[in-house]
Amino acid sequence: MNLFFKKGIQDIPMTQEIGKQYLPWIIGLLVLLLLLVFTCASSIGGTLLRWHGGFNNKLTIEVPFADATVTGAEKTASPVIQQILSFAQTIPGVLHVEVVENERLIALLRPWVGQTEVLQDLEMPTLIDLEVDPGATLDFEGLKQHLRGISQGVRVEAYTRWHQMLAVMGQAIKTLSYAIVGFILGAIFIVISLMTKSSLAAYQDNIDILRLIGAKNSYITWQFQVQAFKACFQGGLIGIMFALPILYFLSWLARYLGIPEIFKDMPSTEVLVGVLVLPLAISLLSMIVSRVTVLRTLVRLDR
Amino acid sequence: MAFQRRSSVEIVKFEQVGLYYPEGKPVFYNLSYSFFAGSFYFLTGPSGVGKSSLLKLIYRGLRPSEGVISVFGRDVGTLSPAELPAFRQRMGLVFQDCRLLKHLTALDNVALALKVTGVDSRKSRSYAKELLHWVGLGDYLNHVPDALSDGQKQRVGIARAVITRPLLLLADEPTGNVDDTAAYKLMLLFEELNKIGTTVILATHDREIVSHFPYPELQLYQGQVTVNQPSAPAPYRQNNY
Repeated sequence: MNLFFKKGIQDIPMTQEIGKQYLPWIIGLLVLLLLLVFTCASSIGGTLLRWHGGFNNKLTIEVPFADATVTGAEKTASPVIQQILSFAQTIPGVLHVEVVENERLIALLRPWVGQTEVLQDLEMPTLIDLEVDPGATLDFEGLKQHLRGISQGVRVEAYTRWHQMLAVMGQAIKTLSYAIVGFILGAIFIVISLMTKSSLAAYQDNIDILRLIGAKNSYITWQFQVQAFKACFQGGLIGIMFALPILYFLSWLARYLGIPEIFKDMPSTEVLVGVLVLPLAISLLSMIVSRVTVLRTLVRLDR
Repeated sequence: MAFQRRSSVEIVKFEQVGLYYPEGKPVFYNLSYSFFAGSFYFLTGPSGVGKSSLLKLIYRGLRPSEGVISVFGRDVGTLSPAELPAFRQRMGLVFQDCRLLKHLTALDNVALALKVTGVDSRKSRSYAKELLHWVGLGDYLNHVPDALSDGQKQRVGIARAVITRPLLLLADEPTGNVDDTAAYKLMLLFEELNKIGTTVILATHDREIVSHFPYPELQLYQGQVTVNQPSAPAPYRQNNY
């Protein structure tokens, strides 16, 4: 195949080689995998980062229903709640204190419970959100002790566990995706190197002739570099042609399933730029791989 | 017609050169001989005696087991890989099997020898066209080697070898695959090149050819080289050429 490139005459006719004809498709498949891994990982990583940012610098105080028997909008009027609110506002480093509205609470529970009507009758705890200065150091244990003095059943959630979990998960996804991208790039370059070696063997006679008529190693190497560039550029474009519809489909599917956060704005502008630069970058790198492979062989012949 | 060398410049010089097979048997040994610029030499001997190996030693396709070979005044053993292309660009090589690139036309095959030296494609093709007309292949410019006869292929090979105007032309059994008439025509081409100053060393096992041309002959036999100075050429015989 010779997609996207005008057919030119090469001194070493590698495009006639059967293996070479499938090379752009093999590269295309690898580029497709690379783009999917890269885009999904960056999208999921971004989502985790947003969640992570959302949890950051937040504390939630949970007051059991039994301790704050006043319901609905009158919750804040409960003496226990009032006492906690007054105390929370005096804690150094606390920037904002807010009782979570009933509607928000119901919205949070809706995915798990389903029926909103049922929720209206549920005995739900009162949640108080505290926004904390990121630079402040809170005495978390002291805070808990003091709040239990006001109401025995009070719980304080600092999201530390979630923080750590999200951080570890984000890092793991990032590392794994980098490793997979590395493996795929490695596979591309191994394919290029093997193809170059097979062409070197298949066209040994042509190479000998070129050397006997005085061709420099750089002249011979250039023939292989051009082939590697063409194959990878074609492969890159093939990969993109298949990757973009898949990515847009995933984005649509996420919205359809009601989880737009996961593939939000996908593919993003940064990813799109990366997608467009990728074939060129891989093609240039493959030229280097091809050059090194050919030069190593030619230097051996010179000995 | 006595042989007269045309120059006192040694273009190729063998000093105590020996070449041995891996098992130690000599291809030839203790060879000392100078090839002078502008002259014509035959390298003869039965098939497999080492004529091709001797030519390979000159263009550094092989290294000698012992001794020194100087070409263009330079010990070829000291040439670095980076110097080899420029060294080979100063000589033309003609092979028995022509060694043309099968996917290229006659024109592109000839132009290639200039192209690899950095001459631009259009100029190379223009020179190549002229040369192909000179060797009588003006009507076959766009034929690939498979569409040419053995004699025609050999003429393409010669055109490719001389397009860079080499100082030295090494021809390894160039008439081996062609009929007598074609062989004679090829020999006339080599003579013409020699007349314009190219040193020609032509390896052949064909005694008929050697006897018709008045040039010195290096005869390889059982590892030794003897030099026969030319006598008067045999008369032209219609049935031979």
